[in-house]
Amino acid sequence: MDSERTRQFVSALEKTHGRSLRRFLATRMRHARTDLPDLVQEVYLRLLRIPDHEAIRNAQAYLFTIASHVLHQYALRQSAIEQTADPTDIASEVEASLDTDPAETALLEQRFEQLGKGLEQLSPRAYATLLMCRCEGATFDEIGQRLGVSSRMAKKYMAKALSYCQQRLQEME
Amino acid sequence: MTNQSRKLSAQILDEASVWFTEFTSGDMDAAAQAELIAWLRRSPEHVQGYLQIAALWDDADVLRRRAHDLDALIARAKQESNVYPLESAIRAETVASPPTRPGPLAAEKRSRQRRVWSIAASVTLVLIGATLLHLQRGIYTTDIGELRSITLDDGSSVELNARSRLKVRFSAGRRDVELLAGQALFHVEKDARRPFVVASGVTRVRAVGTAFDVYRKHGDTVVTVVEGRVAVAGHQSPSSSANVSAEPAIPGSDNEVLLQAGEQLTVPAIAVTDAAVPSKPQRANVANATAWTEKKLVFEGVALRDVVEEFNRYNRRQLVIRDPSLNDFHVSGVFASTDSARMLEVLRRRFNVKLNQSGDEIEIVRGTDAPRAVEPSQ
Repeated sequence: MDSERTRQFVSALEKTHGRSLRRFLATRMRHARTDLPDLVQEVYLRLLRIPDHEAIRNAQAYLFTIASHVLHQYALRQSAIEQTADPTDIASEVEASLDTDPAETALLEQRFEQLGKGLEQLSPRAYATLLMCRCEGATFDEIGQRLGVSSRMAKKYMAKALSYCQQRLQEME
Repeated sequence: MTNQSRKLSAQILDEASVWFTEFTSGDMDAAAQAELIAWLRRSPEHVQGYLQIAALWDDADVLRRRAHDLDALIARAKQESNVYPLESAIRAETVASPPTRPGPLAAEKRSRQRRVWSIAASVTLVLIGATLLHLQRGIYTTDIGELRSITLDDGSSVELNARSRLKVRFSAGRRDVELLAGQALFHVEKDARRPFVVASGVTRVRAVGTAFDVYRKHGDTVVTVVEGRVAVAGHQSPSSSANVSAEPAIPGSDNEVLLQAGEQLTVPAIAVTDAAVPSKPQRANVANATAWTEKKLVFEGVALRDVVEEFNRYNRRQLVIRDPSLNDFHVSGVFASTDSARMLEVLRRRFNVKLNQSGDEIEIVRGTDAPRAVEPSQ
């Protein structure tokens, strides 16, 4: 995949599917558990192959686009369908992945219930920051004001909350 | 597959979380975007960490159900600053103290006691915090295929190769770094009053302001100087400890060898003679010795066993040789460290070997035909 096409993918996908794309990745990442190291390695190698990486404006969109390609191809291999790299395929698959499995949602809720309790005990500020940021869409300036700290500090609480949750999730698996 | 869904270190998840938060805040300028890309390109584990944190962020949507009493939570969070553990410590102390008759004197005594306790408790907390922080900060570990760049407190930087472990301990008088395993390239900031000393087993490498590579391999230590000069010392004395905490003498004695830029010295794990540093410095191809920082492996007539070991530092699918006669094969060439397939293809064509794949390993075995010439032809 040449870089010009990648760039088109990025802008097209990010514009129309920004949040959905992430959701898609999240679901796929969970389903692909066993092959995750291989998939990550492939994403990584593709990142290395980008020739003019200094010029990338939106690092995250780039990463997600590459990742969604890799996951898409992986899914095709799994279902033994002939490989294509048509962006519309990916887009439709992104849409399809939005219908989530209720059993999985229940498991997620259960896990986050535990995570929330643990984090609340460890650092009520980090927990409050995560809720404000994720559930209310508050900016870090707003969060800082409400907690009586700087926005820089609010970011630190946020990072702490995310890292804590992922570490606990790793232990649960 | 055995090591599926690898667990990431807390340090990598911390970094990934900081990057993700920064991105989410929308405060990233072009330079920060480039830094994020550079960070991602440094290691597959970084990519995994970032993707996992992003996935976590999406999943965290389910927390919405718990967000109804957010105002109460914020009120509590604002009260509960860092004094929380302190208060509980005081409470525990008060309960534990023998009951005294309440009176003006006793009350005063108790309040003084409480103050002393609270100070003691806060000092302890600070100490514990500092120690934890220090421990976390002081040790850097990399996994298979992971390269890490570390900037130290003094501005010096370290490139840490895959499967390596580095301990950093700076004090007012000196900068001690211990290479516990693997390989690292150091760019040292000048500070004449604080020597920069890298310990690797029994070897000590002292630098003032320079760049050099230290590779700990089977207990031996290979030192390659890229820029400037370093002093290398081997065994201090037969009884000297290999532990950096045993305050090794700063090299400066007879048993040290000065290395210039472009020179390389191998210090074996075991002293061959009484003279501490056995071998003489040799001219080295610095570009080859540091090619790993660009994810390249350069071999010039290197034994297959060592080639395999190098590739195994970068690839989860491990290469295995069980037939000792295969060690006579020598390999030359430049390879991408993450692409063992190409090297194996070269082997297959040149040396007539076969590959047996099973699970996470690939065993290299002799082909059925008689082996061809062993000498590299490049």
